[in-house]
Amino acid sequence: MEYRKKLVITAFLLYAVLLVKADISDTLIHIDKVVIRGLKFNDHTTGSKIYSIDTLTLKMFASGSLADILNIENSTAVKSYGPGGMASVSVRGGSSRHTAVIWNGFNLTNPMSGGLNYSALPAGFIDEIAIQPGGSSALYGSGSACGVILLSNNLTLNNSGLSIDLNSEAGSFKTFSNMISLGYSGKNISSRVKAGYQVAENDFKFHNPEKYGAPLDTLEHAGFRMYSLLYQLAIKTGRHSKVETDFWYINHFKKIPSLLSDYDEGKAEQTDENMRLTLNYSMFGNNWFIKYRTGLLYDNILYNDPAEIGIHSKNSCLSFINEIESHYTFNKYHNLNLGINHTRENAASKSYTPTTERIRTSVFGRYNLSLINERILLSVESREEYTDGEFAPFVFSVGSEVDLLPGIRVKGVTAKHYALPVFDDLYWIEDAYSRGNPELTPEYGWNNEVGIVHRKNDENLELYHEITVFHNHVNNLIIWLPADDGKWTPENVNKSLSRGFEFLGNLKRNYTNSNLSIRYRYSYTKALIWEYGQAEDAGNRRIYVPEHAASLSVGYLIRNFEIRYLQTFTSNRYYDNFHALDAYTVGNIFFNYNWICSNICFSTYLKILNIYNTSYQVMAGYAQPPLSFSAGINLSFK
Amino acid sequence: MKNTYLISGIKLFFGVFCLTLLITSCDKEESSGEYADGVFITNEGGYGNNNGSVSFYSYSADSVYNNIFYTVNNRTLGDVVQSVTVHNNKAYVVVNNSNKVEIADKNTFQEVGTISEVSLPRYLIAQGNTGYLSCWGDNSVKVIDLETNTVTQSVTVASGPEKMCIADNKLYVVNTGGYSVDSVVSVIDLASLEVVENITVKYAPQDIVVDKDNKIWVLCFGKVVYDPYPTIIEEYPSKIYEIDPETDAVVLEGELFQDQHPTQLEVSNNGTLYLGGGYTFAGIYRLEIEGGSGTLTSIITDYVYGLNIDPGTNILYTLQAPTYTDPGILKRFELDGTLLGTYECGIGPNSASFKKTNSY
Repeated sequence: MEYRKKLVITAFLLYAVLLVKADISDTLIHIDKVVIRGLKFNDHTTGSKIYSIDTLTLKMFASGSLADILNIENSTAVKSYGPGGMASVSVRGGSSRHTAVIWNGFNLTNPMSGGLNYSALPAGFIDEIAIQPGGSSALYGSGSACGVILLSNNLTLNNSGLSIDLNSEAGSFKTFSNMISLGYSGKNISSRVKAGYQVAENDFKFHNPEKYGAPLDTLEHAGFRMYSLLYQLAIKTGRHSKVETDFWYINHFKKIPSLLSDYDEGKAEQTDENMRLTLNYSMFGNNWFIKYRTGLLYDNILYNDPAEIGIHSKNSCLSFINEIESHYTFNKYHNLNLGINHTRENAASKSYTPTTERIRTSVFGRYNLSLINERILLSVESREEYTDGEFAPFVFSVGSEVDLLPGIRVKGVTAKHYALPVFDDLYWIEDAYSRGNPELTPEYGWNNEVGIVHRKNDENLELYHEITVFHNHVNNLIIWLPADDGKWTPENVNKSLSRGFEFLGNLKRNYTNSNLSIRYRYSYTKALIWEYGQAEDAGNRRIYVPEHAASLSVGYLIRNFEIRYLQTFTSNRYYDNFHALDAYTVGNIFFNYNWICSNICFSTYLKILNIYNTSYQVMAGYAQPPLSFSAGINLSFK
Repeated sequence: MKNTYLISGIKLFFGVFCLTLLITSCDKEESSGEYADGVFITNEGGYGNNNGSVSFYSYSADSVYNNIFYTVNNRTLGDVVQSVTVHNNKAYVVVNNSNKVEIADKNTFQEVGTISEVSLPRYLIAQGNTGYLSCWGDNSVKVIDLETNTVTQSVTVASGPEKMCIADNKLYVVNTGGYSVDSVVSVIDLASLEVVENITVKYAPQDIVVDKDNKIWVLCFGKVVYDPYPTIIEEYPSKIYEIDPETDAVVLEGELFQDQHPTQLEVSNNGTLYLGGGYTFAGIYRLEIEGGSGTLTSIITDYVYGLNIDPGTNILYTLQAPTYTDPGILKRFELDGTLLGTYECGIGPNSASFKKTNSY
C-alpha cells in the first residue's frame, strides 16, 4: 500500500509542476541530430555533458570491441588486461559498477557484479556510442552514479532496399577480424543481420620490466576469439506505430595471461556468453509517443583455471525487463515524460545462496521547460525504485541550460544518484572465509556539475569548446572487510568523492576539397575514498583513476583520403594504497581512403598503434601491446 | 730486553690495530646499507594482484619503511610474497603466485638475481650454499645451488609442503595438504636427499620449530568437515607434537583446542612455545610443557595473521591484515604481552624475518 502511494505521489508531483506547453528541444550538441535510441525519452539530461564517438573511430575500430574504442578515446578510464582481455570502464573517478551501459534503452550491466566485460562486445554491432559523464540515476536507474555509456542501433525504414556491408581486417600478433552485414529496408519493413568473427593470438614480444634484468619475453596464453550474431527487424504496424525486435548472441573466449612478474605461463580461461532478445513497440502522434519495451538479457560466464586451485566456475544470470515510456508535449514551452520499469533478475552460481532473485519496480519521469525560444531550458527528473520490499533512495535531478550570449551557453545539473548492492554482495554463500550480506543498503550520493559551452560556426570554421566542473560523492559505499569473526563480508562503510574539471575542444577548418579537424581533451580528476569517521584528508586515492588524462587528435581530409594522428596521455594511477602505475603517452596514426562508385562504396584503412613503441601498463602487472599495424577494408553495396 | 719488550709492544700494538681494523671493517660491512639493522616484514599483497611487498622495521629508528624492494629496484615483487629468508648476506624473497624467488642484498635490498622453475613456492631454508624450497605446485622440496641460483634436484614429499626446519642433518617438512588436508611430516636426509621417514600427525601440520634443546615441535591445525557449510559434521582438535630428531619418533602428542585452530608456532630463546594466528583464531598463547602436560596462557587477544619471535631480542612481532587493499599492522610485544609499538606496514603482512634461519 505504501508502495503504491509513493508511486502515485511521484507521478502526481511530476504532473503538478506543468505550466505551459513546449516542444522537445534537441540539445545534443555533439551528436548533430542523430537520435540515440538508447536515450530515455529521446533526449539527454538537460544541463549535463554528453558527447559521442566520431564516425571515423567507429569505422576504424568496427573490427574491435567497445573496450578498444573507449580505450583509444581516453575519455573514460578503461581497465583492460590487454587486447581482447577482460575490460571494465569507469567515468569521473567512479568504479565500473557506477557506470551503466545502456543499449537501445536496456541496461546491460550484469546484476551479479554490476559491471560488464567491454571486450566481449563487438564494436561493429553498434551504430552510435555516446558518453554521458555524471550521475543519471533518475533516468537510467541504479548503477549510473558516475556515468552512462549509451549504445544504439539505428535501423531505419527509409526504403533504401538491399544492402551488404563487409569489413575485414588483419593485423599484428595474428589478429584477424571479419564482419558481414546483410540488410533490407523497405517502406514498412526493415531488417538487418550482422555476423562477426574476431581472433588474435596477442603473442607480442616485449622487455619485461617486472623481471630481473628486464628480459625480452613473449606474451603467452593471451589470445582470444569472439563469434557474434546480431539480428534486427523493424515493422511499421500503422501510420503511427512500429515494432522493432533485436537479438544478439556473443561468445567470447579468452586465455588469461599470467602477471608479468610470474615465471609460469597462465592457464586460466574465460568464456563470456551473452544473449539479448528485445522487443520495442512504439506509438506516436504529433505531440506524444508511447514506447513499450521488453527484453530478456542472459549472461553466462565460464571460468576455468586448471592451475593450483583448479577453479571451474559457471555463473549465469537472466534479467527480464519491461518498461513503458510516455511523452506528451503540451506546447512549445513544456512537455512531460513518464515511465515505469519492472525488472526481474535471477542468477545461478555455486558461490551464491539458493535464493538469488530480485524484483525491481520503478517509476520515473521528467518535466522539461523551454523559455525564450529555447534560450533557457529547465528540466526536473525523478525516480523511485522499489526492490524486494524496500524503497531505494528517491532520486531526482534539476538541470538547466541558458544561452547567455550568441554562441555561449552555460549549463548545470544537480542530481542525486543511487546504486543497489549487486548479487555478489548480497548472496555470496558463507564459507570458511567470507559471506555475503543481505542487509546491505543502496549506495547513494550527489553529482553536481556546471559547464560553459562556446560554439562558433562560420562558413569555413567550426569551433566548439566546453569546460565542465564536477563534484560527485557517494555515501554508503560497499567494501568487503573482515567481520568480527574474521570472515570477509561487504559493509556500507565508505564514502567517496570525485571532483575535477573537463575541457573539450573541437576545431574544424574547411578548405576547398579538404578540411582540417583538431580535437583536444583534458580532464583533471581527484577521487578519494575513506571510511565513515575518518577525515576526508585521510582518504586514499581511488584505484585506477588517473588524475590527469588528455588527448589530441589532428585529422586532415582531402577528397577521399583522410589521415588522423591521435596522442593520448594518462598520468600515474594508484592500484593500491602503496603502488602506482607510471604515467604514459601513446601515439597512434590512422589512414583511410574511400572510393565511391554508384552503389558501391569501398574503403581501405591502415592503423598504426603505439607508434613510439611505448612500454606501459593499464592494469598492474599486465603487458600492453607495442607498436602494431592493422589494415582493413570496408565494402558496401546498396 | 728492552728491545724485546719494544718489539713485543710493537707486535701487540700492530696486532690490536689489525684486530680493531678487522672488527671495525666487519662491523662496517655488517651494518652498512639502509636496511642492515632491522627486520624484514613480508606483505603478501592481494591474491592475483601485483602488489606483494617487503617492509623493513629499523631497530635504530623504531619505525617501518614500506615497499623497500620497489624503492630500491623500481619494480614490484609480484603476486603473493609468501616469505623472506636471510642467508649468506642475501635476502631470499619467495613469491608464491609468481613462481619465483627474488634475491636481494640483505643490507641494501639491491636485486641480485632470481630463482625460477619453481611452482608455487612457499618457504626457503638454507644451510651452507644449499637452499631448500617447499613448493605446493608439484608437492616437492627443491634443492637449490645458492651459488648459481638454480634448482639442482627435486624431492617429492606429501601434499602442500609448507614450513621446514633442520636438525641432525635432516630436513623436516610439514605438509598441510594444500587445498585439502594432509597429515604428514616428511623427513629428508640431507646427505642422500631422499625422504627417509613420513611421520603421521593429525591433522594439517602448519608450523614446525626446533628449540634450544634440539627438540622439534609441530603445530597441527586439526580438521573441520562441513556438510554443507556452516553445518559441522566432524571436527578434530588442533594439536602439538614433539618429534625426537634422533629417532624421528613422536614423543609427545597434546591436544590444544577442540574448536579453535591456530596456524603459527614460535619458540623463544629459553625454549617456551608461543602459538596463535590464522583465520578466525583470536589471540596468542604461551604453551609451557612440563612432565608431559602443558599449560596454555593467553598473552594477547588480537586476531593476528602472523607471529614471530626475534631470536636476538626475544621480542614478539605480530602481523595483522585488516584487508587486502589497505595497510597491514605490525605490533611489537614483550613476551609477557606488553605492547612496545604499533606500525603501519604493507598489504597483507604475514611474517617478520630476522637474520637467522634454523627453522622456517
